[in-house]
Amino acid sequence: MMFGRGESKQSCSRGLSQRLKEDMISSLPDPLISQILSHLPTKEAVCTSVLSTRWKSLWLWVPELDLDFYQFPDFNAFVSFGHRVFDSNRVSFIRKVKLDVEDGVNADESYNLKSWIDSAVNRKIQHLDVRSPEVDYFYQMPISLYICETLVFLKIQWVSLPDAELFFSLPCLKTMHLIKVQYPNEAALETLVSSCPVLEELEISLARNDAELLRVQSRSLKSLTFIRVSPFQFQSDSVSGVVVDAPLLRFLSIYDYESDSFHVNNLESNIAKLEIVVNFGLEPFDEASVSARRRRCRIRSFLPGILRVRDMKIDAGTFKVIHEYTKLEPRPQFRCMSRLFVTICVSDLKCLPTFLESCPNLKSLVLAIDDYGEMSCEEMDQISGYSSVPECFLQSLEFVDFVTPISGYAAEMKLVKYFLENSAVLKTLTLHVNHDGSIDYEKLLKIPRGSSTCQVVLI
Amino acid sequence: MSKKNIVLKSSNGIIFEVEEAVALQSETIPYMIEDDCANDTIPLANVTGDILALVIEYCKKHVVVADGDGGGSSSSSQEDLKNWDAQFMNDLDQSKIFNLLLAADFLNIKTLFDLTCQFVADTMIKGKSVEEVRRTLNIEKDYTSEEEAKARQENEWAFK
Repeated sequence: MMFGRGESKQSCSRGLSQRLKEDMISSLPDPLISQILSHLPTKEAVCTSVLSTRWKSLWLWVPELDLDFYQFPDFNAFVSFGHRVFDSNRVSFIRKVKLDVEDGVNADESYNLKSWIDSAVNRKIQHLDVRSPEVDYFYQMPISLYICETLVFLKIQWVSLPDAELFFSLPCLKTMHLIKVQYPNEAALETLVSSCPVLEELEISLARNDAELLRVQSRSLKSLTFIRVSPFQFQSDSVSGVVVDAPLLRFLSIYDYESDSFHVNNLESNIAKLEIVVNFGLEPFDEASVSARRRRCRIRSFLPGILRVRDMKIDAGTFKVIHEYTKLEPRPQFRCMSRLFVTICVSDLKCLPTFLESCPNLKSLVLAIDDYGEMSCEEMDQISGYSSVPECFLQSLEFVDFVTPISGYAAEMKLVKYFLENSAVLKTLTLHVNHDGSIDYEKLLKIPRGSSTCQVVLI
Repeated sequence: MSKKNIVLKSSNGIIFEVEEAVALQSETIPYMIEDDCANDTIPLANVTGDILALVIEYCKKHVVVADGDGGGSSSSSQEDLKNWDAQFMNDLDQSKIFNLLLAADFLNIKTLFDLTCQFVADTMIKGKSVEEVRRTLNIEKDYTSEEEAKARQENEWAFK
C-alpha cells in the first residue's frame, strides 16, 4: 500500500530532494485521490481532469457533488453533465449531493431530476440538499426518497413531495429542513416526521395555508424551527396552529404571525432555548384584543409548556402580547430563565420592569429597541420613569447589554440610569454607542451604581 | 485507574509505547490487538517511524480533548484544537503529508484522514490554475496539446 518512498529519496539531502521533487499525489490509490477531490467544489474537481492522463477520469469517482445550474453556460450543458455524474454505471457510492436547479421553464422529459435523485438514493446517499428557485414550478421528488435507508441529512426547498401510500422509512435521518415544500396532502408532513425514528433537528417553513393544524410528534427531536409566512398581506382570517409533542425537545423556535394557537404538549418538557415571534392571531396587540377570553385561553395554554426555559428570545410583538396578557391573568414565572433577549418598542419600555417580574432568576438581559425612527425626541423624553424594581435586580442580574446603539436621548439615559442604580449585583452594563449621537459621557459615568463591582462597557 | 499501554512497531523497527486511549483512535489497531496476542508488540508494516511519530503526536493531542467532558470551555478548546491542527499540517513537507495521508487511511483514523485531505485540497489545488496545480504537485503533463484541448472541451463549463 505504501508507495515508492525509495531508499535513495531518504538519503537525499533536503536541497536535492527539493529539486528532484516527485509527483507523490498521482501515485496514491484512486479512492484516496477522489477523497481529496471531494473536498473541492465540484467545478474545481472536474478541472483536475486535464492535469495529466492519470487524472482524466478520477473526478468521476468523487462521492460528493455540488451542482449549481447557474454555473453552467446553458441548460444542455447542465443536463448532460448531470446525466454523466448520475449515470448508473459510474460509481457505487454517492455520499453527498447539493443541487441548485433552475426555475423549471426548461423542464421536460430529457431532464429528469427524479432519476438523478433516484440514482443517488440507490448509491446510498447520506446528505441531500436540493434547492429550486422561488417560482410557481415545483420539481417533484421521487418516491424512493421516502425509503432511503442511508439518508442522514435532507434539505429541500421549493420542491414537491409525491403522494405515496407506501410505508415510509428513514431510519438514519437526523436532520431535515423542509422549506416551502409542496405536500401531496395534509397528513403527509406529519407522517414524514413520525417516520424518522432518530430525527433530532427539524425545520419546517410553510406558506400560510399549507397545513391547518400541524402536529409535530417525535420521540427523538431535539431542535425544532417552525416558520409560517403568509403569501398575502393583510389576510384577516387566522389559521390553526402547531401542536408540538416531543419530550426531548431542547430548542424551539417559532416565527409565525399567522397561526393563532401553539401547544407544547409535554408539561415535563425541558426546553432550554426558545425563540418566539408569535401573536396568537391577535392583531393589533392592544388590550381589547387580548382581553377577549377565548384569545387569552390560547396564550394560557401555551405558557405551561415553556415555563422551564433557560434562554429565551422574543420580539416586540410577542413581548406586547405577553405583557397585555399578564395584566389580566396570573403572571407566569420563568424560574429557570437565566438569559433573555428581548426586542421592545420604545413605547413599551415602561412595561419592562413588570415583565422582568416574571424572571426572578435572570442573569443576563440583552435588550434591543425597535422603531426609534417613529418617535420624535420630545416624545421619547416624555417616557415616564420607572418605579418598581424586579426581584432579579436584587439577586441575579449580572449582565445587561443594550444592542441597539444609543444616541443619548433622555429616555435612553433614564433606562441606563434605572439599570445602574437599581441592580445590586450587576457586573457589566454594555452599551453600543451611536457615535453621531450626543451622549454626555461624563454624566453617564457619574450615575451612582447599585453594585460596587459594576463596569460600564462602551462599544 | 491504571492506564494500559500499547506498543507499536514501525516498518523500520522503531518502537513506540502509547496509552491505549491514544492508540484506539485508530480503528485498525483494535483488530490487530484481537488478532495478535494482546500484550505483544503490534507491527505496522506500512508506516515508517517518522510518520508514526506524527500520527502519535496527532492522536495524543486529540485524546486529551476527547477526555474533557463537554463543559463550558469546550468551544474554545475546539478552537485551540483547530489552530493546532492547522499548525501541525503547516509544518510538514509534501512527502510527509502524503505519507501521513496513507498512514491515516491504513490506520483508519477518520479525523486525521479528513484533515489531511482537506489540507491537500485547500493548499495545493483550490483556487489554482491547472498549470499552478501541476507545478505545486509536480505533476508531469503527459497529454499532447490536442488531447488536452479535447479533455478541456469535454467539460468546457468547468473552465469558464
